[in-house]
Amino acid sequence: MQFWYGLAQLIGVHTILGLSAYVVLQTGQVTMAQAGFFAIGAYVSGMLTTIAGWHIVPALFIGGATAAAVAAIAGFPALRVKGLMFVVATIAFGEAVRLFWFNFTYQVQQGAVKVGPQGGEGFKQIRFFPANGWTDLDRAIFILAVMAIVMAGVWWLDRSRAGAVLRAVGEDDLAAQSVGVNLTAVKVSAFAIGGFIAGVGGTLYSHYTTHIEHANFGVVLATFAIAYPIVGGLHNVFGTLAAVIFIQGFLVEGLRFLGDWRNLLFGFLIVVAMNVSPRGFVSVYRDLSPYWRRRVYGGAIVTVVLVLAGETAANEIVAAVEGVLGNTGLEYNHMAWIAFIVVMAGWSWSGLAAAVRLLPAGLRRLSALLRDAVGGSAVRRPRKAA
Amino acid sequence: MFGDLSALDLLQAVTDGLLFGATYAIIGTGFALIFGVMHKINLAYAATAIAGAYISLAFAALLPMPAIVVFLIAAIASGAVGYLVYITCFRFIPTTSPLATLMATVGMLILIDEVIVHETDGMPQPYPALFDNVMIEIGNFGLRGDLLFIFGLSVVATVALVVFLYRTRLGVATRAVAQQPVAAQLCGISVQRTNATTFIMSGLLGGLAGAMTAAAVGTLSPLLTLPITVKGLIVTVIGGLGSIPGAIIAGLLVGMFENVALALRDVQERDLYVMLLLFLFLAVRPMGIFGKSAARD
Repeated sequence: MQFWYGLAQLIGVHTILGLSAYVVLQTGQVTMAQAGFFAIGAYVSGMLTTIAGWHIVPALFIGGATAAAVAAIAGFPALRVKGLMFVVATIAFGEAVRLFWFNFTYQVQQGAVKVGPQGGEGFKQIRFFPANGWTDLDRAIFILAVMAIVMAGVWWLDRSRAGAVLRAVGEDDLAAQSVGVNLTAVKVSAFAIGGFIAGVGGTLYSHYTTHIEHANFGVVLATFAIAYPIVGGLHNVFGTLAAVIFIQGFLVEGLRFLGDWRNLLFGFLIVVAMNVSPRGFVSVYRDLSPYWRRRVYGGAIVTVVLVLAGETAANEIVAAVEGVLGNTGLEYNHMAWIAFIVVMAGWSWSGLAAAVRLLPAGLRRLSALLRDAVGGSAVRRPRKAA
Repeated sequence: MFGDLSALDLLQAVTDGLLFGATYAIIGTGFALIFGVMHKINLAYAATAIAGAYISLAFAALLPMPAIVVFLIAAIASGAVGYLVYITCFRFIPTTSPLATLMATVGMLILIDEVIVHETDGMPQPYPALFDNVMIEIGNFGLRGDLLFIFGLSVVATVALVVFLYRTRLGVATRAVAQQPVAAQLCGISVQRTNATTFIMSGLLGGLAGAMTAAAVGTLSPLLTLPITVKGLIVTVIGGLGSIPGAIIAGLLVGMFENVALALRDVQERDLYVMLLLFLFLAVRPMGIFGKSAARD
């Protein structure tokens, strides 16, 4: 189970990072500065918990607030430019933040060790969780709870009048301006909100990895931050979550068993995803008929159940084989399971349906039962008798 | 500030920087060409350039050939990869989803990089230098022969591009699509085909620049793509979006500035100064050297 708790934490942190970019993307600005705000949150809150001995919850707020303040200050000049200029300006800003932490050292003697950020060496020993005896499950619950709060907040923002204003600016800023929207105020607020969320994500990130260094917060992380909402779609926050699960859960962790080939497949699948769903996963989901929509939730639930059952079962099989053959060096690879199941069920439920149709009748019956159990559909497509 | 740097050393740094800046100018021109025609950013562009250089290296390993042929193969291969990028990232994604195109080019950047890493096991490859140790020396002042050649080649490439854009029918079509795609279509120009041509043209330039960078540095590594992408974007912004003369001047300027910063300070700080130059431009002249002021809201 350890692995799944770790994956849950990873997904929680990256979803928060993705949501921070989501808010800014709503205003039509492609921001590459989110990794910088993430770094600010990570370092500031890390210093608060290790050096000042704070609890993580206030550190979370201060980390977020610092990042928001920097975002607001950086936002005024940066938001005077648009489009490609903004992309390049925010890349430069993110790199400047990274280089700042690269050169920043502030260490304090604590007992036998010195704690605090140490320039290029990074910031080690952010041990709030282990020092306070939080188990992996506690951390996973905490991080997912924060993620849920942030998601709910952004979801509410989307629904509110403020969200409508953000989208209006994103769709056509000239039109928005001509109906009296103050563009600078809107863009800077969106940037500050994005900065706050990224700072919160950074806080969770530094405490969950316990060791951060400047290289973690480069252009690559900034690209990931905007990749989540774009791949997921800018219609609602669940797209970002789905994209994080697709990218981190499946492409990064799930395909690990492919070794070197994983990296090749990573870029390729991003290209494919953008060609298949240019407006993001959410828009694909929205275009589905209710019948297929139920299959998508069904697929998600079946995925979770199968993954959990599959791990136990596979461990048993490996144990049984080793019981007969001695130590074979066979190792149960969870990743192969996620890869298979997520591809088949979560990401492309219709793929699973097609595969199921090819299986013998008994198996088909079983899957129909399973689908009825989780989907509970009233509309059944006519099937040929077995 | 200048420390023990003499005027001659400074002149040397400026000249070397200008000569090396020619590659930045070419990369920036490629970005500007695509941006000018399609109003979209192709982040896979530098990866295309490096991919072309790698393919030419593979050909060079098969049979011995003079360096100039290797350069030409790099350009052609890069043109082909550029077309592939067009097909995968631009052709089928609706123009109403610019973010999807952007993300697809990021995916393509990662894919091309990883294919290179996969094929070469991530080892940097030596690239054939053009003229080893050819130096034109005037007293203590020297000009590296290969850099001079690179400079000359990029001038030729730029002139060829300008001739293409202003003297051929396809060039006229390209400019028409850049100005007003709908009107161009009404005149019977195929927008898709023109866009594809733009990608091939910019790929040809990119391949040349990739090969030139590799020849000047002496090795070819997939680690080159990200810095070249960032430098290319900076050059495009400083030069003014979609402006080819702007990209050329900005490329030379960035190359010179970088080399002077390198001579005065050290390697780690070099890029920081380039960022500062960018900020200076964003603050003082956000539309770039030749950009239209409409780029600012």
